[in-house]
Amino acid sequence: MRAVPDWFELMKTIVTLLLIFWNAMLFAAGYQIMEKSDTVTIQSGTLATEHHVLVVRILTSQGTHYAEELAVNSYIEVSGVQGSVSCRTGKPRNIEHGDVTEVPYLQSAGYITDVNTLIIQPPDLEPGCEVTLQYDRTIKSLLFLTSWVYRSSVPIQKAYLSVTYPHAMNLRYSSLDPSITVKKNENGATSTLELQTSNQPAQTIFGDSRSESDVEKSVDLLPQECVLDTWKLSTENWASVGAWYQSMSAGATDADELMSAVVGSIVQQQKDPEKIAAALYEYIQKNFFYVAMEMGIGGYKPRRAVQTFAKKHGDCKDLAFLYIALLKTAGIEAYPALIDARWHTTLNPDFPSPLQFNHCIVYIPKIRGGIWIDCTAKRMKLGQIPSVLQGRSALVPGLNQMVKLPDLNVQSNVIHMTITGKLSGTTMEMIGKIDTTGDLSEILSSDEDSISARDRNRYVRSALLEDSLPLEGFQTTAKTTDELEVHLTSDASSAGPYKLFLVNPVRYPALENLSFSPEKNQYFSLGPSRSYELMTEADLGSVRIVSPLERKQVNGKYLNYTLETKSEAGKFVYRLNVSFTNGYLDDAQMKDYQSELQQFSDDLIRVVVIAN
Amino acid sequence: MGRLGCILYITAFLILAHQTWLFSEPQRLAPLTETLQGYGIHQMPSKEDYPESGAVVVLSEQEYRQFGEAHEKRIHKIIKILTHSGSSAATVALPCPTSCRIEGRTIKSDGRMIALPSRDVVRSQNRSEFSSAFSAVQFVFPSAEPGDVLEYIATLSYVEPFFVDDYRFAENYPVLKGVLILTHPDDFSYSYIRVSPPDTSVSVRTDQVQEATFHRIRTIFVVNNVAALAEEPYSSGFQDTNPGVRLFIQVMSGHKIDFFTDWQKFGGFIGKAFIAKTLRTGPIKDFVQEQISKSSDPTQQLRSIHDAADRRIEIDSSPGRALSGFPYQTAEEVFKSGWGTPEDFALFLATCYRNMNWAVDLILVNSSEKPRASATSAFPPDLDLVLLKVKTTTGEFYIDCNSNGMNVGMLSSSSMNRFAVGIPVLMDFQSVPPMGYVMATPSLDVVQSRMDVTLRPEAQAWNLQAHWSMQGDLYQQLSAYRIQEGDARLSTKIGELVRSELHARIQRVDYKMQAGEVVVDATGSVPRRSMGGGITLLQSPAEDAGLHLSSSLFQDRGTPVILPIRGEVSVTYHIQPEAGQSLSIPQSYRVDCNPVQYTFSAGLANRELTIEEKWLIRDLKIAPESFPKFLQLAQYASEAHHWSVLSSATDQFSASPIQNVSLIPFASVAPTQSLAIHQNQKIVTPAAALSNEPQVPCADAQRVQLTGSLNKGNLLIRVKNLTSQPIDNFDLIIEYTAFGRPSSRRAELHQDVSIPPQASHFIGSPEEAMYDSARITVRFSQKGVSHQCGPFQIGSN
Repeated sequence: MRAVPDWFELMKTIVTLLLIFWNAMLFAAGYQIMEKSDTVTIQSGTLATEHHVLVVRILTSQGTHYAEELAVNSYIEVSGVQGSVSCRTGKPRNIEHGDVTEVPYLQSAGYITDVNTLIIQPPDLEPGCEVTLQYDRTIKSLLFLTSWVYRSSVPIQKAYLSVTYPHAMNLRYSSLDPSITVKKNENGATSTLELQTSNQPAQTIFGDSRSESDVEKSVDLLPQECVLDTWKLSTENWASVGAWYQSMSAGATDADELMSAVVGSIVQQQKDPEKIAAALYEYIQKNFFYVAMEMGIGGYKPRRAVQTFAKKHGDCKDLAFLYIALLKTAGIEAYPALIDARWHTTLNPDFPSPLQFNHCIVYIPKIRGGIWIDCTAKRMKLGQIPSVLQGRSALVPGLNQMVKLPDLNVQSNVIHMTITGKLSGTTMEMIGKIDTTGDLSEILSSDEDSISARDRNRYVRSALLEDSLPLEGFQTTAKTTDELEVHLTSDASSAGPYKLFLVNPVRYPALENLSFSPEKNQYFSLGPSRSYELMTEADLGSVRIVSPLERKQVNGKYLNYTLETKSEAGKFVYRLNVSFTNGYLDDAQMKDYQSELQQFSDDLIRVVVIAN
Repeated sequence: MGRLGCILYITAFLILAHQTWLFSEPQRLAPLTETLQGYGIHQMPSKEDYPESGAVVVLSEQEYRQFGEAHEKRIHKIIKILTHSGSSAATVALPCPTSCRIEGRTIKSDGRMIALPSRDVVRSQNRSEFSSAFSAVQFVFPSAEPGDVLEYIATLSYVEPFFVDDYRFAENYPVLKGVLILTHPDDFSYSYIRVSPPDTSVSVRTDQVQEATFHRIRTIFVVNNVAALAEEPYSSGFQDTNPGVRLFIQVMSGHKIDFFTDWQKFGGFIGKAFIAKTLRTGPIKDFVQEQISKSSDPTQQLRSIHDAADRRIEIDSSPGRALSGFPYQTAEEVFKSGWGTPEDFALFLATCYRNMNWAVDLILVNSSEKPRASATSAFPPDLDLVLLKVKTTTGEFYIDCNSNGMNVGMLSSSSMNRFAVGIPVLMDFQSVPPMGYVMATPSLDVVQSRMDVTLRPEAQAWNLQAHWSMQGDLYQQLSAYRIQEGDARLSTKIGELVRSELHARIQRVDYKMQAGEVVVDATGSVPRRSMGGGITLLQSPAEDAGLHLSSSLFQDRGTPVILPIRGEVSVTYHIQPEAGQSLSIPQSYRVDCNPVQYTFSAGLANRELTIEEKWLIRDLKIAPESFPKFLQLAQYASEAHHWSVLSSATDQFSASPIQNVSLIPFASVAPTQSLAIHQNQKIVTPAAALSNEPQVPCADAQRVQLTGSLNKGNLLIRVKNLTSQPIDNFDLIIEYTAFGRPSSRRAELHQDVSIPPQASHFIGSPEEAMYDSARITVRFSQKGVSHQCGPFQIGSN
């Protein structure tokens, strides 16, 4: 599975590029935006021009590395780049042609895009300098209109947006918070929307699955009617957005004879639609690989299923449409579903727009009352979905309505570890099994068909076990694709008339968050929810257990755990089940979470005392 | 024809060649079986042959084609996908320099061929009026799935000549056949060094080919069955186990280029570019004046200039250093931009210091991350770290220029005790050509981390007080963080660091930064755990300052471990029991495993339990041969580090005797190593060092002269052949002690070398083998007759 699926990757890329430098300034910006002024003139449903002015003050030596990065592609042209640098000493210096470079956006071999980055590097910066920068953008598809960012990881003293558009055009925009003042004017055939805000503090985010765009605040703009290539988009309501996508993807689910043959061979063996759907899902998982290719319209429009079938690779929407095509051929009703796979964004239901989605999955309404399938997830079973998608609403073109996904939360991401041990002298030999579900199945699945035993041991040990604990032996054997057998050895250490032996070597990554010091305007991402279920059953022979047998259950706001030690059928049993929730916490919430983590850390027993 | 005319002619010819494909053979993929048979591959590998790999590179061929002032790189790959996870081999991204041409195809398992359509080859295109710093080409093989074979040829053109490459054959997937080809005109000449790890042999053959009317010389290197690159923790980017070829130019257009093979000349080559400009007026002059006005003491002036430059200039060590011309930024450019590579930063400082009339040497260092360099095996890419040595009227000082946050006189762990080349820095008005010299960098005793933790019992918890001193690399990291982020962020960072190192409820953290040291004081509490039967449990609350030498680091591993720091990392606990309670005393250990020593001692005195845990690391690199011993070391350390102390009113505990463990790892000593000896902070040349060596009473003194010296663990032995016959079957035996403990074992080092008549052979150990003393014996033979020289003792016994 991909932690961050790809749909509408192009839009995400552009936003990412705009924020690259701010990301680099994650821990301290070293500069602040004194003023940003964005003036947008929408000429028609397909064309807009923008003029951007930015005044940046360099605060520290770290800020002297300030650079502005702009995305360009076949829909976005940047021109008229000019600016100057004024410092306390010396004459102002103009930003020259040689201070601007264009570079391709090369993320990995498996991510192909036509987006380039324009890097504007103001010269001779030192603390106290002020950079004034301006440039124009010509937008040939209104889906690429500027996203007006007014709060980010850099302090913004003053931000202003002006959008002039034909009076007849109904301009829509995403929600506004009370810190923004809004003014609307009409002047003959045009209308103007002005948004303004000031003194926005810097916001940063830490933790798992973090992205600066998760905490930035911005306003997206989109006219109610616009055209992307030849497809007319109406954002009047969700149904019209769905209809736009449906028209753009018309014919994409047509199948050819080769695809029909694949379906035919499965239908011959399976008659139950759910089993057919499961077999076809497995067929996609095993025979197609994920490549993000975001070139022009390809950022939105899926390839035809026959193309994807022939190429054997595709991005999320290509694989989804291929799956739908195969399902349709088998007579199973299925639809694409547009969804947002970013951790901390919430859907604004009053702003129907494709800009709110970045991923495409499949919806099968008539199996189990409606199931969802992510074709980029390599190890999930039919009906399982990545936790980042759970509980969200998706737009289903074809049905042309928003549908909510089930929220399985912590139950869907579990690591089970069951160990049986026997004490011989001072050595505890343990054997057990590990299995995982949901997102955490990645831990066992990392290239499971090609990973060497050596690499798997290292990988599993570092992912699952507290590496610094005194474990002398650790070996894994893959039993099935979902299960590992483990062998562990540890030595009991002696203390006078007692011995101590290790019963819990599991690593709890959340405990590493205890060291984090939350500050105001910092946010923390907990990433996916996770549960760990450990049971250690040890045969101690006739040795007396000194440690108390007890049961502790704590239900907190952010984590729940049950810790139990008991004697059962002549064996010592240690059981610890703990669930860490997902979420997105501000500094006060983070402190509460850390308080619960600290309590868990205090209660966590890793060793047990027995008589020598 | 003059040189300029020659260049113009070559340039014009190259343009023509690019237009007509005169030099480049038509880029056409030959039938697969024909290609494979040409390389002796008669059977396509299967999944059974590589059960643990998703794909196999059946053929990986790279060819450098040198033409006049330009060259081409031609990459030809044939890859078989074995499993679904190997499908990632179907996505390819390549840099596209001046121009690039791609041809590719997927060969299905049933023999069908699907050509890579040109529309699917995506080249980055300029979309603005601004120039592009680089461009790239990307493609995905069509219809690729397990069982398929992928084949492509990419030809990349460069506008500069081919100078040097440290080419390695291993890739992310195993390589069945690796081929490297170099073709060049006969007025060019290249040398090569083959890197053939055990069980792998790089074969070579040279021939001549005719291209149009030109004779071209072709050298072909071939290797079979190369294992996939391993991703292992604490590993250098460079893997010794990876076979390869080190290529470097020696003659270019008829002109001899000797600086790739001779450190002295390489020093001269660098020294001509690394010139300090005379400062008459301007911002740097003002900068220097401002700093030196603060003190009349040269030492303080030196420090003041360095510290101010460190705050102003960000050192970026990530970009690779160019090898053709070393285009350093000028001091003015660095001062203006506030950014520079380590070399740029060094040149800026050198400019400041040379204008103070202080002698400055640029020191280029071979770190543990790189293949071992020596006086006799020159290969400039092996020098990857940059120091300055500055001589003022008050003394000689080293400055580590590789990262921000260093102090004058401080060296990072990776810079210490390494082979290096020194180059005197000249002023712009000086015309004497500089010459390089070889040396070893100093070895300093650094206390990286020393923590004292006091635990006093209270009703529900142990009251904790910690005093933590960080120096060396740990200090540098925090100092650099402070420069970049400021004091407020540093305070937060130190708070987080303390909380991650101490498993306790930390209530207060104070710190201060002083010369070369960060001192932290923290208070908190550790819960008292009741374990039943009236006993309570206290477990080790402190980590190991990020050292993390766990046993898994040495298990199932092929590449050397590069430890993160050298020096001392220690924690001392003072645990005071409650009245009437007795404390259990953990087992004490002392484990010697050269170059690492681990001690863990626990003892009760004056009703206080003192537990001291100490790592002493004297070198960073641990070779795979030593892993079994280090695995044992890590297991002892892990056991001891996770100490548990039981407190009981009824039980009486007693201490176990200390367990001494001596683990003698394989001590490798590099052949043909000639080193200068570092003596009391002064660098002397090998000749000077050897003049002080004790001579050995040799039973066969008329045949060989054996001399040796030892200084701070640097062992240097010279064997001089006094006869008119070569010495062969050379065998050196070293019996040594380390950490003051005599070793009962000995390391026998069989050197496959021959010492010519009247010649000397040097053996040195710049790292890995850290000796206190050694007894040296040399056995050798001449014309089949065995002789022995020694043993002789060097260092304290």
